[in-house]
Amino acid sequence: MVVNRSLHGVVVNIGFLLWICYGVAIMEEGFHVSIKAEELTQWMGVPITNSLLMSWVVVFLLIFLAFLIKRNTKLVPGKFQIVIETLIGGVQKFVAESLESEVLATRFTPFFISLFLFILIGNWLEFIPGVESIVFHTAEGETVSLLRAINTDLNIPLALAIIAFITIEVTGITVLGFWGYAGKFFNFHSPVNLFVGLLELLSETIRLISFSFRLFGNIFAGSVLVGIITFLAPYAIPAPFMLFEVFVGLIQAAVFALLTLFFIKLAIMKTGH
Amino acid sequence: MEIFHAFGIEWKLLVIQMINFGIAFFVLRQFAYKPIIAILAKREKEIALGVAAADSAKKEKEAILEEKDGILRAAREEGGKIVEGLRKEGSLQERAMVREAGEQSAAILADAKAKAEEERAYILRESEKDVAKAAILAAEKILRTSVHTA
Repeated sequence: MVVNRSLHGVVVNIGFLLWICYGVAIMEEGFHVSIKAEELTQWMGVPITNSLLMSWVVVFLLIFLAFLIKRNTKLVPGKFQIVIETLIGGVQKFVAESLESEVLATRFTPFFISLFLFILIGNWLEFIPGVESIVFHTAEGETVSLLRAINTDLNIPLALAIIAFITIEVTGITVLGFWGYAGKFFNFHSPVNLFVGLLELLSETIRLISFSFRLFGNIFAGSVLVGIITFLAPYAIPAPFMLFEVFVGLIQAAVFALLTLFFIKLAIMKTGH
Repeated sequence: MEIFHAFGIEWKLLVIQMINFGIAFFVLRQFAYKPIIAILAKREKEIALGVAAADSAKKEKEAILEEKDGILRAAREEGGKIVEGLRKEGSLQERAMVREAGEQSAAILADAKAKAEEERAYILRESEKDVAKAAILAAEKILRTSVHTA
Protein backbone atom coordinates (compact mmCIF):
# COMPACT_ATOMS: atom_id res chain seq x y z
CA MET A 1 0.00 0.00 0.00
CA VAL A 2 1.15 3.52 -0.77
CA VAL A 3 0.33 4.76 2.73
CA ASN A 4 2.36 2.02 4.38
CA ARG A 5 5.37 2.63 2.18
CA SER A 6 5.25 6.40 2.79
CA LEU A 7 4.86 5.95 6.52
CA HIS A 8 7.63 3.40 6.60
CA GLY A 9 9.94 5.82 4.77
CA VAL A 10 9.09 8.64 7.17
CA VAL A 11 9.63 6.44 10.25
CA VAL A 12 12.97 5.18 8.91
CA ASN A 13 14.13 8.70 8.09
CA ILE A 14 13.13 10.17 11.43
CA GLY A 15 14.64 7.19 13.27
CA PHE A 16 17.94 7.57 11.42
CA LEU A 17 17.91 11.29 12.13
CA LEU A 18 17.37 10.78 15.85
CA TRP A 19 20.09 8.13 15.90
CA ILE A 20 22.54 10.56 14.30
CA CYS A 21 21.52 13.33 16.72
CA TYR A 22 21.96 10.95 19.65
CA GLY A 23 25.38 9.95 18.34
CA VAL A 24 26.35 13.57 18.04
CA ALA A 25 25.03 14.41 21.49
CA ILE A 26 27.22 11.84 23.19
CA MET A 27 30.34 13.02 21.42
CA GLU A 28 32.83 15.18 23.18
CA GLU A 29 32.47 18.92 23.00
CA GLY A 30 33.75 20.59 19.84
CA PHE A 31 31.38 19.19 17.30
CA HIS A 32 28.14 21.06 17.04
CA VAL A 33 25.07 19.93 15.15
CA SER A 34 21.94 21.98 14.86
CA ILE A 35 18.83 20.49 13.33
CA LYS A 36 17.58 24.03 12.76
CA ALA A 37 19.18 26.50 10.38
CA GLU A 38 21.14 29.16 12.29
CA GLU A 39 19.77 32.68 12.26
CA LEU A 40 22.31 35.22 11.05
CA THR A 41 20.22 38.34 11.42
CA GLN A 42 16.71 39.63 10.96
CA TRP A 43 15.30 41.87 8.27
CA MET A 44 11.80 43.35 8.65
CA GLY A 45 10.93 40.63 11.12
CA VAL A 46 12.08 37.89 8.76
CA PRO A 47 14.87 35.68 10.09
CA ILE A 48 17.77 35.53 7.64
CA THR A 49 19.20 32.05 8.16
CA ASN A 50 22.34 30.54 6.67
CA SER A 51 20.22 28.09 4.65
CA LEU A 52 18.15 31.00 3.29
CA LEU A 53 21.38 32.71 2.23
CA MET A 54 22.49 29.48 0.55
CA SER A 55 19.15 29.17 -1.27
CA TRP A 56 19.72 32.68 -2.67
CA VAL A 57 23.12 31.50 -3.90
CA VAL A 58 21.41 28.50 -5.54
CA VAL A 59 18.80 30.78 -7.17
CA PHE A 60 21.57 33.10 -8.37
CA LEU A 61 23.47 30.13 -9.89
CA LEU A 62 20.31 28.88 -11.61
CA ILE A 63 19.62 32.36 -13.02
CA PHE A 64 23.23 32.50 -14.24
CA LEU A 65 22.83 29.05 -15.85
CA ALA A 66 19.57 30.13 -17.52
CA PHE A 67 21.16 33.25 -19.02
CA LEU A 68 24.22 31.23 -20.07
CA ILE A 69 21.94 28.81 -21.93
CA LYS A 70 19.93 31.63 -23.52
CA ARG A 71 23.07 33.44 -24.63
CA ASN A 72 24.59 30.35 -26.23
CA THR A 73 21.47 29.07 -27.98
CA LYS A 74 22.06 28.92 -31.74
CA LEU A 75 20.49 27.03 -34.63
CA VAL A 76 23.82 25.27 -35.21
CA PRO A 77 24.65 24.07 -31.68
CA GLY A 78 28.01 24.05 -29.91
CA LYS A 79 29.15 21.33 -27.49
CA PHE A 80 27.50 22.99 -24.46
CA GLN A 81 24.20 23.42 -26.30
CA ILE A 82 24.26 19.80 -27.52
CA VAL A 83 24.57 18.59 -23.91
CA ILE A 84 21.75 20.90 -22.72
CA GLU A 85 19.52 19.99 -25.68
CA THR A 86 20.10 16.27 -25.13
CA LEU A 87 19.26 16.58 -21.42
CA ILE A 88 16.15 18.74 -21.90
CA GLY A 89 15.00 16.73 -24.93
CA GLY A 90 15.54 13.46 -23.01
CA VAL A 91 13.59 14.69 -19.98
CA GLN A 92 10.80 16.04 -22.20
CA LYS A 93 10.52 12.68 -24.00
CA PHE A 94 10.49 10.77 -20.71
CA VAL A 95 7.81 13.07 -19.24
CA ALA A 96 5.71 12.79 -22.42
CA GLU A 97 5.93 8.97 -22.27
CA SER A 98 5.08 8.92 -18.57
CA LEU A 99 2.13 11.34 -18.77
CA GLU A 100 1.11 10.09 -22.24
CA SER A 101 0.59 13.71 -23.31
CA GLU A 102 2.82 16.12 -25.21
CA VAL A 103 0.84 19.11 -23.89
CA LEU A 104 1.33 18.10 -20.25
CA ALA A 105 4.98 17.27 -20.96
CA THR A 106 5.59 20.77 -22.35
CA ARG A 107 3.83 22.26 -19.32
CA PHE A 108 5.60 20.19 -16.65
CA THR A 109 9.11 19.50 -18.00
CA PRO A 110 10.51 22.92 -16.91
CA PHE A 111 8.98 22.33 -13.46
CA PHE A 112 10.67 18.93 -13.03
CA ILE A 113 13.97 20.27 -14.37
CA SER A 114 13.79 23.24 -11.98
CA LEU A 115 12.98 20.98 -9.01
CA PHE A 116 15.85 18.64 -9.89
CA LEU A 117 18.40 21.41 -10.43
CA PHE A 118 17.33 23.41 -7.36
CA ILE A 119 17.72 20.36 -5.11
CA LEU A 120 20.85 19.05 -6.84
CA ILE A 121 22.78 22.32 -6.74
CA GLY A 122 21.60 22.88 -3.17
CA ASN A 123 22.91 19.43 -2.20
CA TRP A 124 26.20 19.69 -4.04
CA LEU A 125 27.18 23.22 -3.06
CA GLU A 126 28.08 22.14 0.46
CA PHE A 127 30.88 19.97 -0.93
CA ILE A 128 32.68 22.91 -2.46
CA PRO A 129 35.67 23.44 -0.17
CA GLY A 130 35.24 26.42 2.08
CA VAL A 131 31.51 26.86 1.67
CA GLU A 132 30.62 25.70 5.16
CA SER A 133 33.90 26.94 6.62
CA ILE A 134 33.07 30.63 6.24
CA VAL A 135 31.77 31.69 9.64
CA PHE A 136 29.58 34.53 10.77
CA HIS A 137 29.44 36.14 14.20
CA THR A 138 25.83 36.81 15.13
CA ALA A 139 24.65 39.71 17.27
CA GLU A 140 24.23 37.24 20.14
CA GLY A 141 27.92 36.44 19.92
CA GLU A 142 27.47 33.01 18.38
CA THR A 143 29.79 31.80 15.62
CA VAL A 144 27.86 30.01 12.92
CA SER A 145 28.47 28.93 9.33
CA LEU A 146 27.55 31.65 6.88
CA LEU A 147 26.19 29.10 4.43
CA ARG A 148 24.40 25.82 5.09
CA ALA A 149 23.24 23.11 2.67
CA ILE A 150 19.67 24.07 1.82
CA ASN A 151 18.09 20.69 2.35
CA THR A 152 19.49 20.36 5.86
CA ASP A 153 16.87 22.95 6.83
CA LEU A 154 13.40 21.38 6.86
CA ASN A 155 11.86 24.67 5.68
CA ILE A 156 13.18 24.12 2.16
CA PRO A 157 12.20 20.46 1.59
CA LEU A 158 8.81 21.31 3.13
CA ALA A 159 8.39 24.35 0.86
CA LEU A 160 9.25 22.18 -2.16
CA ALA A 161 6.90 19.44 -0.91
CA ILE A 162 4.06 21.99 -0.58
CA ILE A 163 4.73 23.22 -4.13
CA ALA A 164 4.79 19.63 -5.43
CA PHE A 165 1.64 18.78 -3.45
CA ILE A 166 -0.29 21.81 -4.79
CA THR A 167 0.91 21.06 -8.34
CA ILE A 168 -0.21 17.43 -8.10
CA GLU A 169 -3.65 18.26 -6.70
CA VAL A 170 -4.31 21.21 -9.05
CA THR A 171 -3.27 19.09 -12.06
CA GLY A 172 -5.58 16.26 -10.95
CA ILE A 173 -8.52 18.67 -10.57
CA THR A 174 -7.73 20.45 -13.87
CA VAL A 175 -7.48 17.24 -15.89
CA LEU A 176 -10.28 15.19 -14.29
CA GLY A 177 -12.52 18.03 -13.11
CA PHE A 178 -13.33 18.70 -9.46
CA TRP A 179 -15.96 15.97 -9.09
CA GLY A 180 -13.96 13.50 -11.16
CA TYR A 181 -10.92 14.01 -8.96
CA ALA A 182 -12.95 13.99 -5.72
CA GLY A 183 -14.55 10.75 -6.92
CA LYS A 184 -11.18 9.04 -6.62
CA PHE A 185 -11.29 9.51 -2.85
CA PHE A 186 -15.02 9.40 -2.15
CA ASN A 187 -16.16 6.31 -4.00
CA PHE A 188 -19.58 5.19 -2.77
CA HIS A 189 -19.95 2.20 -5.08
CA SER A 190 -18.95 -0.21 -2.31
CA PRO A 191 -17.66 -0.01 1.26
CA VAL A 192 -14.31 -1.42 0.14
CA ASN A 193 -13.96 1.25 -2.55
CA LEU A 194 -14.87 3.94 -0.03
CA PHE A 195 -12.26 2.63 2.42
CA VAL A 196 -9.60 2.43 -0.29
CA GLY A 197 -10.51 5.95 -1.45
CA LEU A 198 -10.17 7.33 2.07
CA LEU A 199 -6.81 5.58 2.42
CA GLU A 200 -5.73 7.21 -0.84
CA LEU A 201 -6.82 10.59 0.54
CA LEU A 202 -4.74 9.94 3.66
CA SER A 203 -1.74 8.95 1.53
CA GLU A 204 -2.12 12.18 -0.47
CA THR A 205 -1.73 14.28 2.66
CA ILE A 206 1.03 12.09 4.05
CA ARG A 207 3.01 12.80 0.87
CA LEU A 208 3.76 16.25 2.26
CA ILE A 209 5.57 14.65 5.20
CA SER A 210 7.18 11.80 3.24
CA PHE A 211 8.40 14.14 0.49
CA SER A 212 9.95 16.65 2.87
CA PHE A 213 11.37 14.23 5.45
CA ARG A 214 12.87 11.89 2.82
CA LEU A 215 14.90 14.72 1.37
CA PHE A 216 15.65 16.44 4.64
CA GLY A 217 16.53 13.17 6.43
CA ASN A 218 18.90 11.91 3.76
CA ILE A 219 20.76 15.17 3.24
CA PHE A 220 20.90 16.17 6.90
CA ALA A 221 22.07 12.69 7.89
CA GLY A 222 24.72 12.77 5.15
CA SER A 223 25.88 16.20 6.26
CA VAL A 224 26.15 15.06 9.88
CA LEU A 225 27.92 11.85 8.85
CA VAL A 226 30.52 13.76 6.83
CA GLY A 227 30.88 16.22 9.74
CA ILE A 228 31.49 13.42 12.24
CA ILE A 229 33.96 11.61 9.98
CA THR A 230 35.78 14.89 9.33
CA PHE A 231 35.87 15.57 13.05
CA LEU A 232 37.23 12.10 13.88
CA ALA A 233 39.65 11.65 10.94
CA PRO A 234 40.08 14.89 9.06
CA TYR A 235 42.53 13.66 6.38
CA ALA A 236 41.62 11.42 3.40
CA ILE A 237 39.06 9.32 5.29
CA PRO A 238 36.10 11.69 4.69
CA ALA A 239 36.68 11.67 0.90
CA PRO A 240 34.78 8.41 0.12
CA PHE A 241 31.98 9.50 2.44
CA MET A 242 31.76 12.85 0.67
CA LEU A 243 31.75 11.07 -2.69
CA PHE A 244 28.91 8.89 -1.44
CA GLU A 245 27.02 11.98 -0.29
CA VAL A 246 27.50 13.57 -3.71
CA PHE A 247 25.82 10.47 -5.12
CA VAL A 248 23.07 10.65 -2.47
CA GLY A 249 22.49 14.31 -3.36
CA LEU A 250 22.02 13.37 -7.02
CA ILE A 251 19.73 10.43 -6.20
CA GLN A 252 17.59 12.49 -3.82
CA ALA A 253 17.16 15.26 -6.39
CA ALA A 254 16.12 12.69 -9.00
CA VAL A 255 13.82 10.88 -6.54
CA PHE A 256 12.03 14.11 -5.60
CA ALA A 257 11.47 15.13 -9.24
CA LEU A 258 10.51 11.60 -10.34
CA LEU A 259 8.06 11.08 -7.47
CA THR A 260 6.39 14.39 -8.33
CA LEU A 261 6.08 13.19 -11.93
CA PHE A 262 4.63 9.82 -10.93
CA PHE A 263 2.19 11.35 -8.46
CA ILE A 264 1.00 13.73 -11.19
CA LYS A 265 0.54 10.69 -13.42
CA LEU A 266 -1.49 8.99 -10.67
CA ALA A 267 -3.52 12.17 -10.13
CA ILE A 268 -4.58 12.45 -13.79
CA MET A 269 -5.42 8.74 -14.15
CA LYS A 270 -9.09 7.84 -14.14
CA THR A 271 -9.98 5.04 -11.74
CA GLY A 272 -12.32 2.22 -12.73
CA HIS A 273 -15.18 1.29 -10.42
CA MET B 1 3.47 23.42 17.56
CA GLU B 2 6.43 21.93 19.34
CA ILE B 3 7.62 19.83 16.37
CA PHE B 4 7.63 22.87 14.08
CA HIS B 5 9.74 24.75 16.60
CA ALA B 6 12.08 21.76 17.03
CA PHE B 7 12.77 21.64 13.30
CA GLY B 8 12.90 25.43 12.95
CA ILE B 9 9.88 25.60 10.66
CA GLU B 10 8.62 29.12 10.23
CA TRP B 11 5.88 30.16 7.82
CA LYS B 12 7.77 33.29 6.69
CA LEU B 13 10.76 31.18 5.70
CA LEU B 14 8.47 28.68 3.97
CA VAL B 15 6.92 31.48 1.91
CA ILE B 16 10.33 32.98 1.08
CA GLN B 17 11.64 29.56 0.01
CA MET B 18 8.60 29.02 -2.19
CA ILE B 19 9.18 32.44 -3.77
CA ASN B 20 12.88 31.55 -4.22
CA PHE B 21 11.98 28.35 -6.04
CA GLY B 22 9.30 30.23 -8.01
CA ILE B 23 11.90 32.74 -9.23
CA ALA B 24 14.32 29.95 -10.18
CA PHE B 25 11.53 28.07 -11.97
CA PHE B 26 10.33 31.17 -13.85
CA VAL B 27 13.83 32.18 -14.98
CA LEU B 28 14.78 28.63 -16.00
CA ARG B 29 11.53 28.22 -17.95
CA GLN B 30 11.75 31.59 -19.70
CA PHE B 31 15.47 31.78 -20.42
CA ALA B 32 16.63 28.16 -20.63
CA TYR B 33 13.78 25.80 -21.37
CA LYS B 34 11.75 27.89 -23.84
CA PRO B 35 14.71 28.99 -26.04
CA ILE B 36 15.98 25.40 -26.19
CA ILE B 37 12.54 24.00 -27.04
CA ALA B 38 12.03 26.80 -29.60
CA ILE B 39 15.40 26.10 -31.22
CA LEU B 40 14.67 22.33 -31.25
CA ALA B 41 11.29 23.01 -32.91
CA LYS B 42 12.89 25.42 -35.39
CA ARG B 43 15.62 22.91 -36.24
CA GLU B 44 13.05 20.15 -36.62
CA LYS B 45 11.06 22.41 -38.96
CA GLU B 46 14.19 23.28 -40.96
CA ILE B 47 15.11 19.60 -41.23
CA ALA B 48 11.56 18.74 -42.33
CA LEU B 49 11.70 21.53 -44.92
CA GLY B 50 15.13 20.31 -46.07
CA VAL B 51 13.89 16.73 -46.36
CA ALA B 52 10.78 17.91 -48.24
CA ALA B 53 12.96 20.05 -50.55
CA ALA B 54 15.32 17.13 -51.15
CA ASP B 55 12.35 14.88 -51.85
CA SER B 56 10.87 17.44 -54.23
CA ALA B 57 14.26 17.92 -55.92
CA LYS B 58 14.60 14.15 -56.27
CA LYS B 59 11.17 13.91 -57.86
CA GLU B 60 11.95 16.89 -60.10
CA LYS B 61 15.24 15.30 -61.11
CA GLU B 62 13.48 12.03 -61.90
CA ALA B 63 10.89 13.92 -63.96
CA ILE B 64 13.65 15.82 -65.79
CA LEU B 65 15.57 12.60 -66.44
CA GLU B 66 12.39 10.98 -67.72
CA GLU B 67 11.69 13.98 -69.93
CA LYS B 68 15.30 13.94 -71.15
CA ASP B 69 15.00 10.24 -71.95
CA GLY B 70 11.76 10.93 -73.82
CA ILE B 71 13.33 13.78 -75.76
CA LEU B 72 16.41 11.68 -76.56
CA ARG B 73 14.23 8.76 -77.64
CA ALA B 74 12.12 11.04 -79.85
CA ALA B 75 15.24 12.71 -81.24
CA ARG B 76 16.80 9.34 -81.94
CA GLU B 77 13.66 8.18 -83.72
CA GLU B 78 13.42 11.46 -85.62
CA GLY B 79 17.12 11.29 -86.53
CA GLY B 80 16.68 7.70 -87.71
CA LYS B 81 13.75 8.72 -89.86
CA ILE B 82 15.71 11.64 -91.29
CA VAL B 83 18.73 9.44 -92.03
CA GLU B 84 16.48 6.81 -93.62
CA GLY B 85 14.75 9.47 -95.72
CA LEU B 86 18.05 10.97 -96.75
CA ARG B 87 19.39 7.55 -97.57
CA LYS B 88 16.38 6.84 -99.76
CA GLU B 89 16.57 10.25 -101.37
CA GLY B 90 20.32 9.84 -101.94
CA SER B 91 19.73 6.47 -103.49
CA LEU B 92 17.05 7.87 -105.81
CA GLN B 93 19.26 10.81 -106.71
CA GLU B 94 22.18 8.48 -107.35
CA ARG B 95 20.08 6.36 -109.64
CA ALA B 96 18.75 9.42 -111.46
CA MET B 97 22.27 10.80 -111.84
CA VAL B 98 23.56 7.47 -113.14
CA ARG B 99 20.66 7.29 -115.58
CA GLU B 100 21.21 10.87 -116.69
CA ALA B 101 24.95 10.28 -117.10
CA GLY B 102 24.19 7.15 -119.17
CA GLU B 103 21.79 9.09 -121.33
CA GLN B 104 24.29 11.92 -121.72
CA SER B 105 27.11 9.53 -122.59
CA ALA B 106 24.85 7.70 -125.09
CA ALA B 107 23.89 11.05 -126.66
CA ILE B 108 27.54 12.12 -126.83
CA LEU B 109 28.46 8.75 -128.34
CA ALA B 110 25.65 8.96 -130.90
CA ASP B 111 26.64 12.48 -131.76
CA ALA B 112 30.25 11.47 -132.15
CA LYS B 113 29.26 8.54 -134.35
CA ALA B 114 27.08 10.79 -136.49
CA LYS B 115 29.91 13.30 -136.81
CA ALA B 116 32.39 10.53 -137.72
CA GLU B 117 30.00 9.14 -140.30
CA GLU B 118 29.53 12.55 -141.75
CA GLU B 119 33.27 13.08 -141.80
CA ARG B 120 33.82 9.76 -143.52
CA ALA B 121 31.17 10.55 -146.12
CA TYR B 122 32.75 13.93 -146.68
CA ILE B 123 36.19 12.39 -147.00
CA LEU B 124 34.83 9.81 -149.40
CA ARG B 125 33.12 12.47 -151.40
CA GLU B 126 36.29 14.53 -151.45
CA SER B 127 38.41 11.54 -152.32
CA GLU B 128 36.00 10.60 -155.11
CA LYS B 129 36.36 14.11 -156.41
CA ASP B 130 40.17 13.81 -156.16
CA VAL B 131 40.13 10.40 -157.88
CA ALA B 132 37.93 11.82 -160.67
CA LYS B 133 40.26 14.75 -161.01
CA ALA B 134 43.23 12.42 -161.05
CA ALA B 135 41.52 10.19 -163.60
CA ILE B 136 40.73 13.14 -165.78
CA LEU B 137 44.27 14.38 -165.43
CA ALA B 138 45.53 10.92 -166.20
CA ALA B 139 43.22 10.64 -169.14
CA GLU B 140 44.28 14.05 -170.34
CA LYS B 141 47.91 13.04 -169.92
CA ILE B 142 47.35 9.80 -171.80
CA LEU B 143 45.48 11.60 -174.50
CA ARG B 144 48.16 14.19 -174.71
CA THR B 145 50.83 11.59 -174.90
CA SER B 146 48.85 9.74 -177.57
CA VAL B 147 48.38 12.89 -179.49
CA HIS B 148 52.01 13.68 -179.44
CA THR B 149 52.94 10.23 -180.30
CA ALA B 150 50.42 10.15 -183.01
